[in-house]
Amino acid sequence: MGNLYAGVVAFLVRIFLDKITKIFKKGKTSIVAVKDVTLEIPEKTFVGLLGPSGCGKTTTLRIIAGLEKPSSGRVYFNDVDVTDWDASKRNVAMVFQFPALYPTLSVYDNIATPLRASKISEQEIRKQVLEVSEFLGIKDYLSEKASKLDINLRQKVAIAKVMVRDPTVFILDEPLTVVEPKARIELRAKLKEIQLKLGKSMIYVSHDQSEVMTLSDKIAVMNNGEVLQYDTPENLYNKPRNTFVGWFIGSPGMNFIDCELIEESGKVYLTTVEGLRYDISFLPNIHDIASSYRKVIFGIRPEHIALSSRGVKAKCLHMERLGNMMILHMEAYGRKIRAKIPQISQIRVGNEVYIDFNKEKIILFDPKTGKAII
Amino acid sequence: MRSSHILGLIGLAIFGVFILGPLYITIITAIKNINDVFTIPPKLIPYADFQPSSEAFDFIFNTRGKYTFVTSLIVASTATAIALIPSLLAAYGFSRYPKAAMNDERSFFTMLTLRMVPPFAVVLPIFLYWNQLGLFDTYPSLIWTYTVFSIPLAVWLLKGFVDDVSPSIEDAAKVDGYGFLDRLRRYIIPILGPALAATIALVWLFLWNEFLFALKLGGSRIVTYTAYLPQLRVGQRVQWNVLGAIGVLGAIPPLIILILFRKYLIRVYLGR
Amino acid sequence: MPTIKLINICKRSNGSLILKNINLEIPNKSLYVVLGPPRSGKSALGRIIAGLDTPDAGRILFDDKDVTDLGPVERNVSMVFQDFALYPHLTAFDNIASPLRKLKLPKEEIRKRVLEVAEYLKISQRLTHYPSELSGGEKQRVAIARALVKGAQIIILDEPFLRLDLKVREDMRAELHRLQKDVGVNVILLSSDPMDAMAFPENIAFMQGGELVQVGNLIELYENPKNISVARYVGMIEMNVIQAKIARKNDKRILDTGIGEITLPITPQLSGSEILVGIRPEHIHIGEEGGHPYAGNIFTFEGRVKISEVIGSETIIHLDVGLAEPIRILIPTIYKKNPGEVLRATFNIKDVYLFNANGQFICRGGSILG
Repeated sequence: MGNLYAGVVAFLVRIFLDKITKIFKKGKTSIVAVKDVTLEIPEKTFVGLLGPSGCGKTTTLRIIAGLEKPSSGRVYFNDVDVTDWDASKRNVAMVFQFPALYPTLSVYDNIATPLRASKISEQEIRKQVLEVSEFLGIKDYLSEKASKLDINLRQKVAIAKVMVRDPTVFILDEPLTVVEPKARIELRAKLKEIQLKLGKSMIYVSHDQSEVMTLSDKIAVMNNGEVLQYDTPENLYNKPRNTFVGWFIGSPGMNFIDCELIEESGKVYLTTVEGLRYDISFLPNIHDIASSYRKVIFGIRPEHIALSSRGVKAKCLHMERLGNMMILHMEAYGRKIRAKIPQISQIRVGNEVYIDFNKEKIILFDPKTGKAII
Repeated sequence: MRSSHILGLIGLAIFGVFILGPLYITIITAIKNINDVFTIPPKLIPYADFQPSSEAFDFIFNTRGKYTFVTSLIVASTATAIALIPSLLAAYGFSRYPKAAMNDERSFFTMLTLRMVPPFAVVLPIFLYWNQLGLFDTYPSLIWTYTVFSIPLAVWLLKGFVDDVSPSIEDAAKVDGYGFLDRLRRYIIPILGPALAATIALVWLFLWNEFLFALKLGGSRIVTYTAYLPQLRVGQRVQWNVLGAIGVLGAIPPLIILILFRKYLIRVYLGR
Repeated sequence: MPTIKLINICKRSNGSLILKNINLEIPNKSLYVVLGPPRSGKSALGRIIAGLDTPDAGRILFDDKDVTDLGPVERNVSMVFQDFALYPHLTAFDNIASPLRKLKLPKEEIRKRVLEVAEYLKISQRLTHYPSELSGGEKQRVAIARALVKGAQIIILDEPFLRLDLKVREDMRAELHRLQKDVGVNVILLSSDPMDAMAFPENIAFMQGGELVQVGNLIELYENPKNISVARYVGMIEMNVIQAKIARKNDKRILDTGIGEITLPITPQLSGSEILVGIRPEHIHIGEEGGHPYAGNIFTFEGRVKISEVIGSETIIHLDVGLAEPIRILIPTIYKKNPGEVLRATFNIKDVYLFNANGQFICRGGSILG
């Protein structure tokens, strides 16, 4: 293919964002959409940007693509500073929420158009178009006018269009939101396949947590313009580094219980004014922690709580049944806790139960910063 | 500068000359003395080539010229006002009850054809019609004709806007206990708000500028400012400066409307 | 708060029946979920209970009083719509006050009530804002506040959570629960999301194609679904359904699924030549148990991972086993397997759901095996 800009030849590209900030001015007020974001997207990696509406993920994506210029900070593709380059120069392939097709052209022409810009023979173009459309299951629609197809097929054509180019990186902004649920699962699998097959990086933005957690090798969880944690889905789930990540990832999110740490006769206890007294001496470095922190946030996921014969006493407030599991909403010593346990039909609202926690999954957070201590 | 920029500017300049040129000529003609109008080469720059004169405007204000503006105002405004309620209700009907009898696409299209008819084809029969009724050269005939021709346009525009108001808003209002008239007054009209205003403005504008029916259905008593124009011949000469003055004055209301409703009119032209 | 009785309700639209002879009793002060796929008639039913539409046949009783010919205000019913239906030209305060203004209450009374409800739904800070300035969750709260403020005895919510993010959805479900407990109104939730049924498991009515298919609590619909539609729909993840042929071997019935055989004793329930075997993703386990594939009642099979889907705190493994559809397996933690990896999976035949070729529920595997 040959892109003339040295260093950004379209093969393996590593992207680096260095302290990117973006401020939007709206009349008299300014909105900080992205705050000091530093991120590395390695080659051949599927990276997701995840967070609630307005967290800055779309803006960050657009800055990577070149559709927005950052207010400060630099963007590097393979150590080349591309911050001032337009999107077209960066040779990125974008798939948007709504399929960007030429409505009057046939599906074949839509896919072939980017190829015709370079000097490939018509024969070679045909071969590539057929290959891609076979892969995405749209071969039967090649002669149809693009505007006549339904939304699912049109989005597949949009994906085919970007596949045949040889971009530096794929950038996808909520591409499956408009697609119907059945087609969504199929397309999700296909996107992952494309990423692995072509060996390029894919940067994916979606508000659908499941989608991002399913597809990504690494996810940047964002809130209020900042990246709170950039890690694998499993680590985000098992080792959240702050309370927001612990709450946001997983359904239902982590329990957070305000407690005081008390050290007594060589043992350390989590306590509350209402009478909680839970021995956590088994946690590593607990004595150091107890001397530095008096108040902590005790974090434990509902699925890591089990009913036991002894432990912490709790009263059942109400239950959600998930088929073979249930979520118990309980109150223990003045604190609200949810537990996800196998379905037990004998439990009634108002019952008192004893719960215990999976010792390896306990995480303590600093109440002032929300950051994880352990 | 890039070559594409220069070409763009040249294109804009040519375009500008064609659009702004006649406007400029009209304005300077309006402030010329009648003799300055016919000179060759034409005199283009006020104070340099010729002395501006208020002769044309004086003429208008000292003769019945000024009444023609009032007539136009009355006719356009009355017709728009009368057309408004039926158009709104019809638009509501077409939008909310597409399955009712007479509300399908065919009926809608038939209504539109009323507007699409070339005025020249129907002006004579309509004239004869009013004449038979003895209503030639009266306000009712012109106003009524205008009303009938305005309704299709208004309905067409308003239907699109009513479509954009979500039906669940009306459901919510029903659940809150509001009957149809209440809903129209409190919810539909305010929500349509600017769109409604833009539609009214557009309809009024077409009527203000209307020439053919004003000329044929009016006579000596009912003269709109557009119908006044052909009367400005004095012997072999046409009083171009008065024509220019009338053009300038006649352009004032549209200008005001354009400034006030600029945002909404753009939306109407773009279809959202 | 009344008991709602629907008797033989029918409704036509464009010539076809969208509600077919609905008979339903909704207990007073309950939180009732009407669950069903899109276009099953839930909205139509909701509008009829609200009084926005009248049924073509049948009666509606509130506490034995016939309200069929009454409108929403006379019935004292409120509704929350899928797109929130907030009046865009009014502030949140005026939106909430709207039903009270119709009742022509004095200004101070209106103000008092609106502030009270806004406080309860935690939106007091946003009352001066317009709907376009509010987030999805806030709009939802305003819509609910508007429904609550006139003291309606029944509140109907039509797919209220569809447009909300996962976390906001979790929040709002908890809010609904609190609301129902504190205020004691009848809450009727129309939803196509099975998670809503699970959050409110006591009263569920499953609708499909304009008919009431099954009514009961979540455990009843989960363990003893009336037909395959109910079984597939009610459950965190859709049930796996495999077509199997019934054959006779010695004195046992063999169900040939295409990925293995299930051996069952002969019973009159297993008649015919075809049968549908259902197994829930949560009942399938990765890894072998007991070694021998036919040991006890364990069914073992193998497949290639197509994709590992993360949903909330769980993972669904889509396993390609050579059948028309992949088998879904639910793993209760976040555990991603790479596409292409070969996995061995097992389930207990007691957990299986058996349906006849028409989709009617026959029984669980457990009841045959004993």
